[in-house]
Amino acid sequence: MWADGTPPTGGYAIAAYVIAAVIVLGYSFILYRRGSKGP
Amino acid sequence: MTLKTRGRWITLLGLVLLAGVYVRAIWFTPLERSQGGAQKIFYLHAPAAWSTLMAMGLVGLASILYLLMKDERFDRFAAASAEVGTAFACVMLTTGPLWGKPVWGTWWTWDARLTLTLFLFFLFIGYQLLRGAIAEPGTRARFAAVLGIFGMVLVPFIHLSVYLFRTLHPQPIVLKPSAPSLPGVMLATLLFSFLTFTVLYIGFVTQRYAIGGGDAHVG
Repeated sequence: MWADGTPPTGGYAIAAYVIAAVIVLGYSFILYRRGSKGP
Repeated sequence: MTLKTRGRWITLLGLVLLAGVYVRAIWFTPLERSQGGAQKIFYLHAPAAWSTLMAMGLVGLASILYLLMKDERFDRFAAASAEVGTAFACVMLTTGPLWGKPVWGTWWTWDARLTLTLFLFFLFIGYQLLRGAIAEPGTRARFAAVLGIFGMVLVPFIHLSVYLFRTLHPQPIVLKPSAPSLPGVMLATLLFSFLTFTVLYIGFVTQRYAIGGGDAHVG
């Protein structure tokens, strides 16, 4: 627990935010690449 | 402006909004006392789940319209929505356990909500494998439409599963008959994230629809 009684669970949040960003940015990049290859 | 370019601009807008969600959720939304930082996962997990269920709902709707009207554009939209839904399902299924571990004490439990959601993910995968396996466009569209409708039928069960079964998963906070049960500043962040994920869904689907492809080809 932190001094104010809050549990130290921020590491899980950081992991979730990083993974979500990787998936969203990764899929954006995949779509961009596929769209750039022509019809 | 072509449809593909429009999709790219909408996606870019969605990514800028997502950066805004990160900033607002991390620095401008207070910590929840009992869960700590892990509660902030909820600002990504719930909107990702919303986009996933919306994607499968629209796959089913487009599938019904395809079967009724035999218009190839509905089949193409369903294929686009299914692929985008799979991406959002990946966000939902990775952020969920990362919240569950510190709050429930376990990464995963086989309760109704989680199991049905995993089943939906497998349906998304199966839908795309089916499309990749059938070369004849008419047959592919018809078979995929049937599977898409099954997926759509699953969506209300997933949303209502927390009422229908005894489950560890929290009950809906926004999409429920009574008023949202969340302090104003947290609710604002959550609604902002819902809007962002909806914009991302529209951008992704517009691009994927314009690009097409991903299906098996004759010969």
